[in-house]
Amino acid sequence: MTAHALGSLEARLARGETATREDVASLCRGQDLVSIGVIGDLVRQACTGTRVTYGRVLSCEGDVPDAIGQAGEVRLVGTPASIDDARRRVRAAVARAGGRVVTGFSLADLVSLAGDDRDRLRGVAADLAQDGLVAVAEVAIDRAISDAAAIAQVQAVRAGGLETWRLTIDDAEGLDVRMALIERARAVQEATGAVRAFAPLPRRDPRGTPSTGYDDVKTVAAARVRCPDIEVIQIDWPLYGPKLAQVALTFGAGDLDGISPYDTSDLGPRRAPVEDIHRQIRAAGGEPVERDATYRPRG
Amino acid sequence: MADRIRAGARLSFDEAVVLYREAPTSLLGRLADARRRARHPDGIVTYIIDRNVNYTNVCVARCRFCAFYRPVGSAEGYTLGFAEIFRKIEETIALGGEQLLLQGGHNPDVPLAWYEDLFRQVKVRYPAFRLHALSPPEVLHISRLSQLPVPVVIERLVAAGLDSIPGGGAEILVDRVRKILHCYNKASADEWLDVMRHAHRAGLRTTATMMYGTVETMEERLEHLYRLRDLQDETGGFTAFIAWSFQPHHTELGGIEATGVEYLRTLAMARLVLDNFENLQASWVTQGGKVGQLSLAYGANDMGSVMIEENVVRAAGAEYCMDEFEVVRNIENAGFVARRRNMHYDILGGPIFRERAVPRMLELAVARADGQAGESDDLRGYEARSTGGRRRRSATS
Repeated sequence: MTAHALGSLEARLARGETATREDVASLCRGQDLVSIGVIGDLVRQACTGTRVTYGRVLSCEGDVPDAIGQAGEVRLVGTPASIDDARRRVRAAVARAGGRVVTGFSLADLVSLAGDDRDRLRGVAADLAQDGLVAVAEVAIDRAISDAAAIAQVQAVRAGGLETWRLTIDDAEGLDVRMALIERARAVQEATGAVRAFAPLPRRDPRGTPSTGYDDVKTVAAARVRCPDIEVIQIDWPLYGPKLAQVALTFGAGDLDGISPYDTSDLGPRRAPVEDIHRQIRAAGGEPVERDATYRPRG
Repeated sequence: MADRIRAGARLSFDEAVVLYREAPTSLLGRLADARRRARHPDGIVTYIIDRNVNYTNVCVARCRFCAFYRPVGSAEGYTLGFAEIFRKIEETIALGGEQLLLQGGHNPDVPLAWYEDLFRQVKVRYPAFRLHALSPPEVLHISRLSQLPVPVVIERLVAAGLDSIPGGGAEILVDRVRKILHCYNKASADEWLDVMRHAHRAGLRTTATMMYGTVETMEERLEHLYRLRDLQDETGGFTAFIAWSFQPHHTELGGIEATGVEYLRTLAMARLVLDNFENLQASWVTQGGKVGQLSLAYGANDMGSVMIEENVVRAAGAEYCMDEFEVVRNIENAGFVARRRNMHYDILGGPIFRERAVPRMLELAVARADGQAGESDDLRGYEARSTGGRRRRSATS
């Protein structure tokens, strides 16, 4: 994208127009990274102003521990062995969560447990909702075979009474694949209106050839620009680390997920206390606001 | 002010303060990127294949920000032997490297003659191999130990085979800061600059560094940059500038690390203030590969070193690794042309791994495996200055 085209896009976005898919593709092919950041940040400010939200999450692979800390969300992670196992884990977590919202599981895992049957999926969702689960923790859109399948799955679990606030991506190698998934996220939101946060950076990265910083911040900016109807573009703080996660806040990200529920500095920078999260957000020009699992300000 | 900078005007200190404090990060990035492009319009981003070898961790300086050093007499102290260093050189050559970055603690039991003998033997065994060695505080330490003036020490080291001097130990070149950090005694700001001045006068090229994020103010960071700019105006001897953030883990000073955004802002400011420096390196070893790559949009034109080995930053908690394949992939992914260089920033060619098979390296080596402390037998023949060192050597001689 030429400097003139970038300037023109910037002006159109400032007038409240939406960037086209071609705009974003052209933007991401370019190497003027700072201008890409300016555009992502422009849309972020139009969506959420200077506010940067963060969620303190207690992720539990097994039982919920006694020390819940300051968690605003208890999240059950890992693949349940069966529907009964999932229900047992939810009931146990709700009993120990002290009134915190309990979310859990990946939608793809629930789809699999339901035998890829929409009616059964709705039933599973209804059972889990009855047990106290509020939302599916991760709607990994790359694990659906098509946009239509992703939309149908979201609609099925919502019909069963579970929320699907958070879209994620498990694997996406290369910028083109990421761009296609951003379009899928947009399509899911257009069809369902069920999404509040979209985490566009993949949760898995090949060790020998990890994604690059350029591709990551371009992805963040592209997601922000192409999905203005999704409240926030989210970065997983412990997964991506403080450096990239903070820089991503200047490229269009507006929410930090996975913040430690414990206020101690002994757990390393990826589990930093909330005071440090505030420092990082402010150093990126944002105003920190703690949210709960529903993406609403806490307290 | 931005227009004046775009027109190539030199930034005053007061302007720099305003810019550093108040300018949006995107504006700093755009200005720094334009400056980088004006200096390097060919779109080349360079890197070097070399190895960071820390020949000893024994140090009397006791800087509060350092997690690497061990005091004299520590059971964890080590000094490498010549044979170990030769082996590291051979491994470096096998990976396409042509230089060691050789630095270490201020060890009172390693005299000037040891360095001279080491350098001579390296040059005899590996005539084309380069020694980028001994930061200004080390040169000063050797000068004090040997009771010889700095220019004489430099002359003798050059005669033995020293090729260039790394810019380590600069930290922040403001004595108020250096006193708090306990690094004033190893070298005051003036002493650090003076070693570099002598080195440049002796015909050596050197780099310059800045470690920020401890106790200094923003104005003191800028003062550091302006002192470097002044010396560069005087001698023109610096090839490059490298900034990195203090790594707090396991250090006496402790605290928290400066943020990624602060790194990019500081790098951009360095590009704008240091208008007489040709090259700015990205510090991926402290910022990680991703922010290291983003540095190329904020003023950096060099991805630094493949390193092969690193001990000092790792001791303070940073454990990033990039082999040549990764460095080149990141450079090209950012839209630049990757070129291998030497310490003088002469272009040596394209990536080695495209010329021949080179094994992937997914983690950096260390000076010595954990638990293998102690000094090498080579040192027996050299004079020791510490009481323990004298006793040890007289017992073994």
